[in-house]
Amino acid sequence: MSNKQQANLLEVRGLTVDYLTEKAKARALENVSFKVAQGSILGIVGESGCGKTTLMLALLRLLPQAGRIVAGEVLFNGRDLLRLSENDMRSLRWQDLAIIFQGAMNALNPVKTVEDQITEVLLRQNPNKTSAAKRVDELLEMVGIGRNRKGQYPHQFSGGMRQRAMIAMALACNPKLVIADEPTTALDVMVQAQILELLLQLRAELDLTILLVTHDLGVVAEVCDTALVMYGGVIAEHAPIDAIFNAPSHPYTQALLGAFPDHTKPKTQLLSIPGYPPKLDALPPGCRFAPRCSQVIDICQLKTPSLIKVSDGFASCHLLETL
Amino acid sequence: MTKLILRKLGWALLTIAFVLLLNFFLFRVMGDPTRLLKDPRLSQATIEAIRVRFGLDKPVINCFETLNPIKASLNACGVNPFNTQFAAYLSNLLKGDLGVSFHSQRPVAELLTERLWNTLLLIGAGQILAIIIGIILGLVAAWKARTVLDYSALVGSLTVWSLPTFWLGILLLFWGSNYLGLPLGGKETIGSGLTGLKRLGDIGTHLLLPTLTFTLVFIGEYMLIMRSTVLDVLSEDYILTAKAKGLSTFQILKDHALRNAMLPIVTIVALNLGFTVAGAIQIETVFSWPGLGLTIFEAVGRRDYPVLQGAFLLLAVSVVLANVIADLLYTFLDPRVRLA
Repeated sequence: MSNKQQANLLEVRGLTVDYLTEKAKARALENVSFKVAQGSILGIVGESGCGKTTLMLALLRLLPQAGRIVAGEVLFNGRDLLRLSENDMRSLRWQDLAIIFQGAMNALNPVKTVEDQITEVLLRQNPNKTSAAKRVDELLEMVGIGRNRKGQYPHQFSGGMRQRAMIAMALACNPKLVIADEPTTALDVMVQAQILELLLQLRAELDLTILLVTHDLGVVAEVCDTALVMYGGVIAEHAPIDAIFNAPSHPYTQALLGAFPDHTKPKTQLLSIPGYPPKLDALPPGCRFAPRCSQVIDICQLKTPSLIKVSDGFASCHLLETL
Repeated sequence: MTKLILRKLGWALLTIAFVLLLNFFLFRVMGDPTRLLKDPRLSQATIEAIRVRFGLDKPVINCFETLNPIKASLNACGVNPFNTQFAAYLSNLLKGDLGVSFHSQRPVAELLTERLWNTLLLIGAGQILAIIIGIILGLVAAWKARTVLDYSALVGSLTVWSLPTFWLGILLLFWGSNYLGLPLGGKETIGSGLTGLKRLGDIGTHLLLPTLTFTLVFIGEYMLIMRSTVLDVLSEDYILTAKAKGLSTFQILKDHALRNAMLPIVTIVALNLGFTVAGAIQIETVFSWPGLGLTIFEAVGRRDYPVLQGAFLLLAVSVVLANVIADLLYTFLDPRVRLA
């Protein structure tokens, strides 16, 4: 689907984020760089606490108070979002960059009707209430919610419907880039499949570029064009989806795949990765994955590997340098 | 929705009925109030006449024998149940008659209505100011959490909250009357003969200091509750959604934080209405404001039971009503309650 000729809609260069706590400074993201082509879907995967959510919030400049973007550039259509004034950034949010939170959770305001919450963003663009009402109907129809339910409150919706409403809301202003934060978590598999189907269909119809944050490799395999595997705040591997699943370069990607059930092969033993992701305020020297890596070599404990080009993508591992 | 309102009202009526019972017996367990008439000039006959006049010669209630189904007879113990103090109390209440004040000989209902308006004026002005200022302060403090602004609002609120009401009142009275020439007490200048707007202005200057005291005393509570609630709300996911939607700070606070944070405030305001009258007793006494609080204070000193009984009933009813209103506001503010 992704066309190599097309320009990159989003380019992140050397993004580094710190969280300042009372005692220590935790580096949540270090030197994260990647590009996303217009119209493609990038999956961002990793364990909990690897920096997926931080990355997503940093792109929108919505980090919590303790978060600081220390270095880097976020080029969106060639403009560096990190250099925009707060007001310019605010006018860009939702118009160009929308985010789909986990709608099944508390991302919708419980005391406002779904219609009100969608209308709210429409009115920012155009204060005409009749055209806004028409657009709400259109959006809800697009995601398959009956228009008779638009006056209802989020608690009257099922989890899947709330997620659909969230998606409808994200599409309200025709954004160029949609960031979806675990849009299928906490939904049952049937609804999950429907939501993913919907995302794919909308991508095709509206030429959306989507960043899909998830910890579910199955979701990535199903819908993404490329995948970004994160570990401990750095990029472990960034490659097209075929390469990730068929020829993973980084030991962490390999380990992740080993821990994931493959229904095409009968009776494969699921492998877990021993240990825990590193604590961000006490990172190991050298490669962050070294303490859990099964293929660790001497240099891994000493030097941080840099992101290097491998056949189809990029990976950060000393093993690949020696090849 | 209608069913819900009716159910709430039903419960309120039941509560009031219980209060009616309690209120009646509370003042009967203290014995015959004519015992307290110690004036030596009163003859036994006069005292007896007073007892008859106030219905104190009748039995308090009919005996429990009437409730026994076997002996069921209204006259089981030789007392006509309709000729008791309790029956008189109920039938008078239904007629809106709360009895006659021992002290001023005026009908209690008339006295209380007159005083109630004065109290409502004071409470209304004070509470509305306290609520508005407290809510705004709390909202701003929460938005600017852990800044100088937040800390000064916090310390200020805690300070005024912990000041004793009567003490603050006395200080303000001293300061206001000494330096600003504000009146020392009362509701209006007696015998001034002012009418129309001038009279309203006169009442306004009298209202100034008590209202200020009232507002200061209550601001702290509202501010503190608002601050902590808004802090909770601001950490909710939907606030992050609102920020991501590019809404302005004002819109986020007004449309997303405030309404969710209003729920606890509504409860506190309703519960406060009861305590408010207690607070008003102190303020009204310091400023000689002729309200319900001062009336209660004076009636206690004079053992004016009919007035006390009427005032208690009025307070109980207003607390119950305030709770009903809070309940209904709740269903309006929170759609999740509406369906429950």
